Amino acid sequence: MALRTTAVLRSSLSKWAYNLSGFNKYGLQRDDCLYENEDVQEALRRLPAHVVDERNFRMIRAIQLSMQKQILPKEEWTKWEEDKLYLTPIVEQVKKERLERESWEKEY
Amino acid sequence: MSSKALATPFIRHVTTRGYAQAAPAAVARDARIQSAVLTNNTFVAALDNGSPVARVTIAFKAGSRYEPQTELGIAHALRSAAGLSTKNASAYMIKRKLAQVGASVSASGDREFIYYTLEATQDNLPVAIDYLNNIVSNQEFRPWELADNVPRLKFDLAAIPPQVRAVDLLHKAAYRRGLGNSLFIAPKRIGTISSESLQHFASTSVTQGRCAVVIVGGNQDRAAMVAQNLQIATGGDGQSAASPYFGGELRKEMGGDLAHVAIAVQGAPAGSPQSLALAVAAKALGNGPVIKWGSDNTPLAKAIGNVGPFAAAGFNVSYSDNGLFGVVLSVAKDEANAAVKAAAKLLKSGNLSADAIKAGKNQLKVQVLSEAEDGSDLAESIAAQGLTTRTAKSPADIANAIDQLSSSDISQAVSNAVKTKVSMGAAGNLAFVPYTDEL
Repeated sequence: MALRTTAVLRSSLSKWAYNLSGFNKYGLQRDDCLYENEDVQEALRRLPAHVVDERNFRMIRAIQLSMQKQILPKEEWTKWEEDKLYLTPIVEQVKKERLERESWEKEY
Repeated sequence: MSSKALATPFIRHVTTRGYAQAAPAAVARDARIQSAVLTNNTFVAALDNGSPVARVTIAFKAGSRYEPQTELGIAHALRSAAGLSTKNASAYMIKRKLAQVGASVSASGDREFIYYTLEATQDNLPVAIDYLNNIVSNQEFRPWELADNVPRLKFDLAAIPPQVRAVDLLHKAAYRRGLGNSLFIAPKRIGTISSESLQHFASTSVTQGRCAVVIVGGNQDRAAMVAQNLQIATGGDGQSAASPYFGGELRKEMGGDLAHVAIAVQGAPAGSPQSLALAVAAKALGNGPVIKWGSDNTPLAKAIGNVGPFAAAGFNVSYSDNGLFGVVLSVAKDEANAAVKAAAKLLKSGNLSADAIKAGKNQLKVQVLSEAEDGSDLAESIAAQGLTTRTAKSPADIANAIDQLSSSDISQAVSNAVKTKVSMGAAGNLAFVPYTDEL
């Protein structure tokens, strides 16, 4: 019982934090906000083209809205439940490959 | 790790079809090829010749003849994808680990098979075999790695010698489909072969039933162990649709000063006595001067006569169900008409003197035995034999078989072959190259 309560509490807490962060009001997703370091750039290269196109569309729309000092109507905000991490798993893989390379270079 | 397809002269097909079986007899006189077919239908063979360098070949019936007509060139993509990340190991680790133990892996292919061949010293063999296993098993063909691989394919194409192009065109003309599929991907198809189609091709052709594992410089147990550790799809009997001989002509105008022409008639399938006889006859036709810068006194050179510099050789290739027997010729463009007609006339007459046949036998024996000295070639040719005939002939057997061919066997095989329709593939400057009906 206690465990279930904790889980529910955690999920509602993260939902609250998600909505507070504000980027969803521009229609962005979490992975759209990743800082594009080398790992992320490599991960982006590995994405299928249509996913990258959708990402670029969301970003350009967000820039446009930001310039016009507007946000999307509430029904178009990204919902916490619908925000899938489309990039993070690939970034993790890229990072793993990089660490593998670096540890090899260190050893030999 | 680079593709070795181009380093293979087309003439080696003679040996990969089952006649280059000679063990380096001087090293270990009692070395015998042991072979077996495992319960999962994988062919394993080993030749423990005591060599300090061991060669392991894992071969599959995944050559260009098995390509679906909608995915031509996929066999080339498959062999150039060797060494990319698989489920078991990343491309980086494969490269560095193999380099660390001084091993080298090459992927080469012909019309029927693809060979992954590893060379490593005996003490590093277990580590190297692990990584060979990782290269072959569970291939993933990640799309971005395939995209990074495009320059390699382009380089492969740019490096094709025109003679090889002529022989490739000859196959296309002679067989149309199946054996006629090019060894090389068409330039326009580079980059269009998707990860999914490669995966499908690999899952249907890189399977246990279509696999042969050969170790030269190791024992049978190790070969069986390598075969059993492979994580590849089960099944697959590797029965291919027969590729009938049609005969025809294809030309590729490429400019330049030389014309490269391959003319052939239908040969014999691998393993048949006729194909061995035709291999001797191909040598008897001529194989260039035997002394460097020396004069060319072969029947072929005499037939062509004094037309200026040229190079001409007989060739014979045998596949599991068919073969080609003919002549390859490179000649200056202005003399092409006379030279090609003379070579074709000799080929079609099928006349070979007893002396030429005798010389041909000796030359073929030397070629078979000396190619078997190279462990990698030997391993690949044993694998090809195993996949074609399910047995591996010993070197002595092949040398004996060549010796036992009588002149009449050879003349008979040649006169049967030359009754079939002539095919021709030509590349280079074709301004004066005659068409087949003018030969």
